[in-house]
Amino acid sequence: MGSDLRAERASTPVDRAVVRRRRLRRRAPRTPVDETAKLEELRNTLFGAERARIRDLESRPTIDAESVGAILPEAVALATAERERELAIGLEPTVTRAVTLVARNRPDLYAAALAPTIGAAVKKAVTEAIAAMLERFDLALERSLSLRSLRWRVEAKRTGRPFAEVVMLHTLTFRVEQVFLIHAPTSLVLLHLTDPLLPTKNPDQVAALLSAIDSFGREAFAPVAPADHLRRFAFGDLEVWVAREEPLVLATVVRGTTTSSLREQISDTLARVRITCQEGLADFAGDVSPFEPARPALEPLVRAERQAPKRRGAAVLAVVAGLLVVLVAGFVWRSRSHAAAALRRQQEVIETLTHEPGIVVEHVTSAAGQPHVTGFRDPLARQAEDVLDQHGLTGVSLSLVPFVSLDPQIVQRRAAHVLEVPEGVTLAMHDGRLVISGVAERRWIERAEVIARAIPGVDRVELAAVRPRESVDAVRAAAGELSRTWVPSFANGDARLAEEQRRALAHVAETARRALAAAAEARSGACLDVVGHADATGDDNRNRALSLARAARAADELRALGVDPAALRVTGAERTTTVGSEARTVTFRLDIDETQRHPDCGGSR
Amino acid sequence: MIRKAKVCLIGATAVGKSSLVARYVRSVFSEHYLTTIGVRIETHVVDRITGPIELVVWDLSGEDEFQSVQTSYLRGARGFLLVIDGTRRETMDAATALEASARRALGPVPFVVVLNKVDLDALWDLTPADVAEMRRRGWKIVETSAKTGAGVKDAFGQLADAIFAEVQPWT
Repeated sequence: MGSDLRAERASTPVDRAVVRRRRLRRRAPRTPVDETAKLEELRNTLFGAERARIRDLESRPTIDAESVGAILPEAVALATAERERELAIGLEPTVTRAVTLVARNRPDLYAAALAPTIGAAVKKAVTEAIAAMLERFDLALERSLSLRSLRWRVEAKRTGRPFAEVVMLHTLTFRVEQVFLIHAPTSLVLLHLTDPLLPTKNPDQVAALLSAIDSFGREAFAPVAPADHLRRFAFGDLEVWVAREEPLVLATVVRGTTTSSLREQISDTLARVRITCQEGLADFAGDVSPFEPARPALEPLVRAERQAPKRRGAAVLAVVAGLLVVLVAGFVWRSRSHAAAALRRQQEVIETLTHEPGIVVEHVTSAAGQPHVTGFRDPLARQAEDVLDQHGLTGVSLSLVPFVSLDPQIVQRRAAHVLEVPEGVTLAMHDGRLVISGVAERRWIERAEVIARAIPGVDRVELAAVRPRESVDAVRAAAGELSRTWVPSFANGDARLAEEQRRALAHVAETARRALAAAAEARSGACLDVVGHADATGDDNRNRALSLARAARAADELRALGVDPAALRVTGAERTTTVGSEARTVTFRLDIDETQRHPDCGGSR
Repeated sequence: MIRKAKVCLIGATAVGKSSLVARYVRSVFSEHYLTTIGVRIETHVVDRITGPIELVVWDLSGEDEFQSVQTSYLRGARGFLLVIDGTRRETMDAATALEASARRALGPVPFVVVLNKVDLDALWDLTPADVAEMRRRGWKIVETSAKTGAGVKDAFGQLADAIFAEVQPWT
């Protein structure tokens, strides 16, 4: 039942045929011949078509790896000739995948395969690119002119190097110029990489001499530990770093300042190359070709690291900053100039006003570049504006409060103003003393004496030099009168006074006394000249003596009549040509000396 | 294939080492180095059927007693030219000592004996017996003249051949 169920469940034609065959086998017994024939018939019925296809397939040649391999080249060639495009399309994914796998898993193999062609092409392209870059660089630099570029030009001229190279050297942090991969035991160069633009010496000789120097140093400075070798030497800005990983030496020629990252890179590169070259090193016998695959690993070492270029923006900023500094400096300078000028102007204003009588400067400020003066001004002082104008100082604002100045000039001005000084009178201040001089009416003098004492700044009043006009006039009138008075004629040859002469002399005496008194009031000195005369007749000597005698007799009479004897001056007139009684007389002249009150008249008391 | 080998040029004083190679080698350095550190480096390319071979020639200073000083310069050499002045027999004796020193330093590397100054027949000092003795020792001998250049290329060529015929890898 279970098997029937399984048969019922059989779903494929083959299964169903097998089930039917089992049922037939169970239903009736068969002979062997019948069985075979029937079975064959059944096979044909069930699998006739399939059996025919199988027989056809079995009749074909067997296809296995060996047979395919035998015909594959011809088959590919045939397919390439007849269906190249389809073949390429069909193979592309597989070939791409294969190349990718090789590149990933065997980079050394890949590099070795490509190096001969790509290396040369890259080298050429790089050389051309660098040359073109240098040309452009050179051109740009040719057009630039700066102190630094001039200095570099001089260096290029001096050293014979291209200008661009000199500039590059100065702008580089470092440049790896050469790399030597050296087989240490033989000091032979396995690989040599260099900047294509730089001239180089024979690398084998350089490497050999490096080795010689190492040996020389080790012997010259022995003892040296076996592992110690030449690691670095430098001259100028050139350094040679010698890394060693037996049996390899990697000598790196660096111009500039070697960075720690470069040193690490050198060390890492040598370690990698050491692994890459292990096979070649094991059986190295002078053939350096097997080391070529290590070249790509060394190539990154030949590089340059440039100083971070100074940003143009920074340069512009520097220029702007410089301009700002100049502007600020100019502004400061100008401000300081203005400030200095303003200060000088203030000083001039202060000095000018300070020297002006009756003006006191209290404070000077500056507003909008203009000085402003505050202080005091006596109403009798000059206008401050006029004073400043006179000194060319304009545009000064003033705030001056009236006050009473004790400056002598202002006090004198005040006195003149208060006293209403008349013409002929002058005032002067000396140490608080008001000195009044000249001629004035007596009433004014008396008033001035009183009022002047009350004038601020006047301590004392001196009136000694001021003369009453009345007295002066009186003296002058008396002098005129005396000059017109004469003593009546003396007798011929006689000097004695007659009554007539005495009367005349009495009048003269009165006038003279009055004149001398007026002169004293007028603070003047006066001398009364008594002049005796004789006529022209007679002897001159006798006449001279007679003239003097007549004058003396008259002077005696005047003295007797109360005239101050000190004021009398007796003289004889010179020889006269006058003939007659009119000539025998005595005349008078009042000599007023306003400079001294007691002149020496030569008379005696 | 690019093949290279370090070789040394050794011999007693004034045997003509420098003169011998002057016209065949290329040195980028001045003579000064020879007296400064006792070695001058030169390169010499030998054309052989199998291709060019570059010989880096270490021209060691000709001190007879150099053995103690310059052993380090010998290190790594594949072979050497042992120069003898044919007009001075004593240089053969020096060469004998130098060969022994070089052998101690380098092991059994190939070398070629250069009998120099063959142009000076009248002054020739070595006897046929001397030469025979050297040949008996198994030394390869090339007669040369620094003056005419005769034999010099042959000496370098024989050395190069010997090196690359007997080359043993460095380990």
